[in-house]
Amino acid sequence: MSRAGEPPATAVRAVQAALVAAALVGWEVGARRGWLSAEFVSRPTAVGAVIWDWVRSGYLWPHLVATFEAAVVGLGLGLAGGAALGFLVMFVPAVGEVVEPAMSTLNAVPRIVFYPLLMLWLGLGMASKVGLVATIVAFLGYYTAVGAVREVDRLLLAQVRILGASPAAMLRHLYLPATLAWMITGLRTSVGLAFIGAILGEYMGSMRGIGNIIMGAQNLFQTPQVMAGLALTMVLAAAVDTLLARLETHWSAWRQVEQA
Amino acid sequence: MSTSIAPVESRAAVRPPAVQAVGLAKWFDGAEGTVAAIENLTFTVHPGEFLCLVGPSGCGKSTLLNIIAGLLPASGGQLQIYGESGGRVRPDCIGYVFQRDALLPWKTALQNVMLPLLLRGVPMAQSRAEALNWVQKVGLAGFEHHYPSQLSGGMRKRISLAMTMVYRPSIILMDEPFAALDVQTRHLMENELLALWAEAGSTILFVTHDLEEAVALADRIIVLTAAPARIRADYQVPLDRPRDVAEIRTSGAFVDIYRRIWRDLREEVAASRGRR
Repeated sequence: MSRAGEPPATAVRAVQAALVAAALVGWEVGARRGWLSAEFVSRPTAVGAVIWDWVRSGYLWPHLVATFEAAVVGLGLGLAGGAALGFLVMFVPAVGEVVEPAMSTLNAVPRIVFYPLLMLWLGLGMASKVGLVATIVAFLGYYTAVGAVREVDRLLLAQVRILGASPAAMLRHLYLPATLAWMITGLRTSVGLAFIGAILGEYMGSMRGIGNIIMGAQNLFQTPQVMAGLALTMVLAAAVDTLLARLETHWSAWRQVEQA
Repeated sequence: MSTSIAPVESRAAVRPPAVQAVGLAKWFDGAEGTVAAIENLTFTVHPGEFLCLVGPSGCGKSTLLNIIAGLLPASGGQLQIYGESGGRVRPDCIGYVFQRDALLPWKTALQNVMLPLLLRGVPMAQSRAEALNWVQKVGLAGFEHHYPSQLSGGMRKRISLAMTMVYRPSIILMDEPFAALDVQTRHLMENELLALWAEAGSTILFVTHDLEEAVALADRIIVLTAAPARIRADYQVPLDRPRDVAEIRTSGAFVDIYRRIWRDLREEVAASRGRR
């Protein structure tokens, strides 16, 4: 949609593409001419060749799948577990009094400090990465559920009670959908965090994954491979984000008029 | 007393009153001490009756409905629903149509209307069939799969009505349900409500501050005082049924009863204004 005074979208796209192309050409020429150190920044064509090689040989897929799996499984477990704890805290006052202060303290701690412990407990494989991602996003699930319960429309609450809902039915028809609605709104943020967690986990110790490729290449001073890993991460992130933006619109259909 | 209310009284003799309040009181503890919202209310609502509660804004009408619904505990007095007291919420026999729409925004019109049936353990297919029937009855066929945000205010109100009528509550509480609608929509909805009520045979307690609406709809009108709510007057409405709420307003009998009740209500409205 273009409003008056704004350049049309196609022109914006063209300028963006031109800028990216110019940067790539500048990088390539600069590295070939020796203005940039090829050892440190490599060259776009070299990076492209590495990616092509990985794709063709099938080397890439297990790593790509591993990163995806860690991010997605960790995201699901973390959000669900966090939300479950949030509901417990809100509906069981005794649990709330014990858990709530602990959660706000833990939330202030960078979750990455727990990773060495997670590796000790869960090993170097998928489980510790999933654990790290889940630890990071669990707080989002927790605070989303707590917020959804706390801010629930009192009128809807009264209505559902009048209609005869049991506590379980209230959870199902009122609190869970409200929490999910908030989660969908923040889905792109939480997916971003999940990928950060997965790749961080792979940096620190793992057998597989994009982060693992980047770290391995870095140890061997293989700049094109490091750059290829970074490029793949960026493409992956952009693709996932575009997909999520679509899903968000689809899942928020009930809000469409309010948004318009 | 008009003959039109005779059947109500004969029915009352067979069954216990739908609602019986004796010395009902409600006070709230606020920052400035205790504030009485309702004081010493004693009244009886007969089964099948359409009772309007009128009173100045903020007089405690909604509080009274909330107590009858079981959403708020009373501070004093007794309240019996069909001869039974106790039980905080009585979902089987009570329906409540709020002033603001209380539809679940993430459910479609049909899913909202199905909800009370599903909560009662009615099987999915049957709930769906009954809900579809009610969505059609309130004139929204074709809008079953719209979300509340995609419906107009009048349509949302119809869905709210269907959501309440679908489980056939014997008492329906209505808190200024049509206040937010434009006049034409409002008259349409009022006529439809009367038709649905005549068919369902339920008891309706309808709160409004609009006396014209009350006279057009009710069998009986209770005028409440400015806060704290007490009973100022209790009128039978001697108008024949079926009524057309738009046409009946011009009849002599309507104007007559309206004038009599307005004399009571006016003083209470003045009293509530003087206090602010």
